[in-house]
Amino acid sequence: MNVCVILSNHFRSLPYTWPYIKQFYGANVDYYISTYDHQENYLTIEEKKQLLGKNHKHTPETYRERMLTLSEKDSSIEDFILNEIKPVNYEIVPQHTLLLDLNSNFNFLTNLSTEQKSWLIGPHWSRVRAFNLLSPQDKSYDIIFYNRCDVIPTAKLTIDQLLNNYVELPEDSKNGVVMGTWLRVLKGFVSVCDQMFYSNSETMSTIMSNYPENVLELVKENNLFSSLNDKTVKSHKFFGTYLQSLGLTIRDKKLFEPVKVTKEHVLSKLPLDSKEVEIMLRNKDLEINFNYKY
Amino acid sequence: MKIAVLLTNHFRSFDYIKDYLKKFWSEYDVDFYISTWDHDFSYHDSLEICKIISNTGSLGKNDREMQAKQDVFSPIPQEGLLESIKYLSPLDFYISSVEDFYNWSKPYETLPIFTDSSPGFILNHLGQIFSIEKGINLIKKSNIKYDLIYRTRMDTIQFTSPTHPIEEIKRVSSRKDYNQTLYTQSVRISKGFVFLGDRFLIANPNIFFKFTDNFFDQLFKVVNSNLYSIHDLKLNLFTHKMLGIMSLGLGINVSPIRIRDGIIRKDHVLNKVDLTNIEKIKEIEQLYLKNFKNK
Repeated sequence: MNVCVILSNHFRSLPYTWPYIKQFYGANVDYYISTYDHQENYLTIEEKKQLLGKNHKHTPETYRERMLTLSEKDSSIEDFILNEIKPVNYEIVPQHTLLLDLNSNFNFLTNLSTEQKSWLIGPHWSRVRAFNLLSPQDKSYDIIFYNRCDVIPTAKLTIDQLLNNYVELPEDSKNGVVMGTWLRVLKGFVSVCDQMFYSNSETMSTIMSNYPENVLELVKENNLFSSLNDKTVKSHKFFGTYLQSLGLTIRDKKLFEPVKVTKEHVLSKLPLDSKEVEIMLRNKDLEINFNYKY
Repeated sequence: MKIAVLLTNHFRSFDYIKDYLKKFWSEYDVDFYISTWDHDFSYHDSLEICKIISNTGSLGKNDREMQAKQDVFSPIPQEGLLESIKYLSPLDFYISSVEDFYNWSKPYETLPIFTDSSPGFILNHLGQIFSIEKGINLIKKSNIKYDLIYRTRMDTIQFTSPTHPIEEIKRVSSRKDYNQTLYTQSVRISKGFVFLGDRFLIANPNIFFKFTDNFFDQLFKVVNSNLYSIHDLKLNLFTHKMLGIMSLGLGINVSPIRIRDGIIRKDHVLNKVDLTNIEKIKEIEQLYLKNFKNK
């Protein structure tokens, strides 16, 4: 079975988690990666507190501006990609490429700052770019996994079992089925975890194709989703609504659980090869939250 | 925690499970409300279902008027019905007829999904929601302040394993969005449609009141949205998808919750299943579903 993994978004903890990811997906997998040329929002909670100050009020723009002060171009990203990941294809893009896209295609979302637009659409934008690194002939992989760079795919099952779970779906219902992790309805929006999912190449192509037209149609034309202009709508709601608008089926059998590996995890040298640690991460026992109020 | 347990929809195996239900809820501060029909519908064991399917081609997807001719509708003697209902000492109850439904559903005939549809088609889609709405209105009318409405079906029992449903609700009640969330057994997206499990719906009364207060307007808004115009709205939506559509229109949260329950079918009743024996209930259910699927 031909399998590939596409990785996208900010690089963050990937150098630390790479051995785990590599082991999880196994040797017979091709990688494609689209990431940014700098680290962003990759700070410990202490660093964030120092940077932002407890009692200072920020707008989304000043929040971002301050975050970016610690986000210089990081040349080690490319070295790591070439020497360790060795993908079939990759790209490293400057952040302003995303911002230009958002400002030209989504300037009608007047209620949202550029920062908020990037939270809403940025993850999908980066995902689409990673998918577009596959050449037309590459797009015939049997299964394509999407995995965010700073997320590890903890799972009770092996990769072969995950693949079998898809293979064993009835033939007539394979197309249009996305194997996901969780979904729920939040304030009237279908919300789907967008950190990791997989499907066949045809379905993945449906998700990744026609950017920005499909997204614009969803955001602009649909009276139900006029509230995408709402600040509370972020990438999980956007992604769920988007999959729904494409008429897809989402299976959330809790077969795997993507876990974000933070800078705290990295600094504490958390042994990701330990089953115990994996379970604790999956149960969110080691999660550290920082909710900064503007 | 003051709880309104609302039992809705068709009567089916209620007579067999009523004693279990009474005991099950007895340790909690519970008032019962019941909204049911004056007839039974599609209450058959596996063999009867096989017979009906071979006569009509399918069960449930056909027009109810046609099914009615196949004896899928069966009258319930009113005296027995009242006696069974009163066994739970409900604070209030409502027994609907199909005529009640047709009067209620008149405005819905203008919805694009129901254009040119027979009344039976509309009954198939909205009958269960109608029954729930009638029940919610009983609770509203009572003016009693409840912390929770636990709506379940007349033919369904809850299990205490792994935990009593109320203990599980208490566990999730610390979540910050608890009061804005409708809890159900499952949330799925099937071909773009949100699909909610309908065996139980649990939430703060305000969530349920939202359903009943704005039902038509919200349904109208959602089914007329561009999102659904790209799908074939003439597909059989039925209750699961209707509930899903409504949850989008109302802008609420819906989340699955780990509560175990089971429908008690006619096969369970005929087998005189012990209602505390979860494994046996499951075994008969599997057999029933297998027979159903094979047909």
